Amino acid sequence: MFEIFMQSVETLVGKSGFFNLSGGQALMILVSFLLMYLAIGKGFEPLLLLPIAFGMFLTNIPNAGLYHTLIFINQTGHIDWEMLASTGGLLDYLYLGVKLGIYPPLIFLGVGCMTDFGPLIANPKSFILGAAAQLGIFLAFFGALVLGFTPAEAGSIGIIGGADGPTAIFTTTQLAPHLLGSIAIAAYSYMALVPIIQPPIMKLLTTKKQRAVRMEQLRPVSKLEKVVFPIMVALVVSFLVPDTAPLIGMLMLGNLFRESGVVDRLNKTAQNELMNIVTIFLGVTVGATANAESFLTAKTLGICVMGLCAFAFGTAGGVLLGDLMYVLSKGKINPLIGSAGVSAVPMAARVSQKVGQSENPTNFLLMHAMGPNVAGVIGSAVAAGVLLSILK
Amino acid sequence: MNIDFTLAGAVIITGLVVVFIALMGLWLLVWLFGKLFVAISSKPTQPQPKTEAPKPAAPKASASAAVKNAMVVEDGISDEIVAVIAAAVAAMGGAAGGFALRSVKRVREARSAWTAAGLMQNTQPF
Repeated sequence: MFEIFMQSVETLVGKSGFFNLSGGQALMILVSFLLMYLAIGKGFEPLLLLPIAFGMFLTNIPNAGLYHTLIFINQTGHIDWEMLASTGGLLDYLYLGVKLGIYPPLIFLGVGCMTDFGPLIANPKSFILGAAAQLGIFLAFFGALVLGFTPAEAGSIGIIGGADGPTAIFTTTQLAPHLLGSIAIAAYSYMALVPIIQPPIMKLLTTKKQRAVRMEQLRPVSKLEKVVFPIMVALVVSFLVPDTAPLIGMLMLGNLFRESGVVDRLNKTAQNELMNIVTIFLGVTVGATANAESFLTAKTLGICVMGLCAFAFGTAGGVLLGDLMYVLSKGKINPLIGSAGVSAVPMAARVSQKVGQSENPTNFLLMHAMGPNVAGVIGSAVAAGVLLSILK
Repeated sequence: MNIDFTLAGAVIITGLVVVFIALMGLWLLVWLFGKLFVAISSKPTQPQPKTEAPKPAAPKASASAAVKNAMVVEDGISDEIVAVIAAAVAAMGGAAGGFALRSVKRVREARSAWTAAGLMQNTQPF
């Protein structure tokens, strides 16, 4: 009896995490605690960063078997269904939604339900600012190539500059799934740091006079325009870049739910319950991909550096085109709204508002900046489609 | 450093060109639709009295005459409301004064209290 008890205890100790913890796993658990602190204590994109951090924590618990990299990243390049059936853990099953490209478009559905494209429709010139801010994606792509990443990896790193989490995850899952954890964490961390990264660049590239420009009030937009807009965008963008149809299609479907006014129940569900459920699954499973073997490498450092460059170049691209539009419009356009073209809705628009208001306290740029901001979402989805079509 | 410059150049140039073409195309389409919708929606509103922003009137005597003769007040708006609006306009004018109130009517798409509260919240520094 006593021998059996001792044997059982020995087996339990032998299988326990305390006995099997590797140095890398210990370090990753500490990194996950740091990310949890940033999410809870500092409020850095907590809706995504907290589940990501906890997923990272869970996946690095020894012998827990929640997530198996080999099921998804192997020599065949396809999901190992047999291994999934025999040894798959909870997070393996949930990760299928990421691997099969289901979660990011569903997040975009909710984003579409929550987005008001009115400022963009009222001032369609904002589209061009949203396009210019995608410069960061392509410059970071080149920078990543210089650092020694493969073209597919470089494309995934560049898309961090789109400042759009679902787009970054959707692209990386198809181009460089082994970098998903690092890229998602870098993307969401930099999005939370937009108020720190952008203002110095915005001030560097504009004059005091430009920053103080007050823009004319936007015209009211009719309901018919708002209903036609999502259909038109889905049609044009999906025809031009079919690879981006899942993202743009769901974004615009969500927006049509919102603007049509006839499917209030679907609209509420998509932007609340569905969005929240998918956010949990997406966050936890993306975090689960960040195990010690894939995260504690020099590549992660390179991703962090190039991700920051992508944000900086994107901001600079938007502001520089804003400068040009300031000149062409004879001082009617405040170039600060260009920085909002990097997406990161609505944080980047709020940064434009804050920097503009610091020069002129009576200046309200927020609604003007929302135009390039939502145009940036469309622009980064188009850029992702281009990268996928060339590099996949 | 072993970079495929041909591929890199192709990705960068194609990417930027396609992004700009797509968004400039949307700019053009949305601009055209906007013009069309504005033209359509402005037609039926023509017969209605036009709301003008208060403008300073040159001589004071003619301004008061204009108020008496030309002011259009929508049904259901009491004299007290008109008086309050006139007082608010006068207060905004400050020392300059000399405003003529030509029309008082309800705003069709007024911003709700919740929208206004949301706007205030969003424009506050974070």
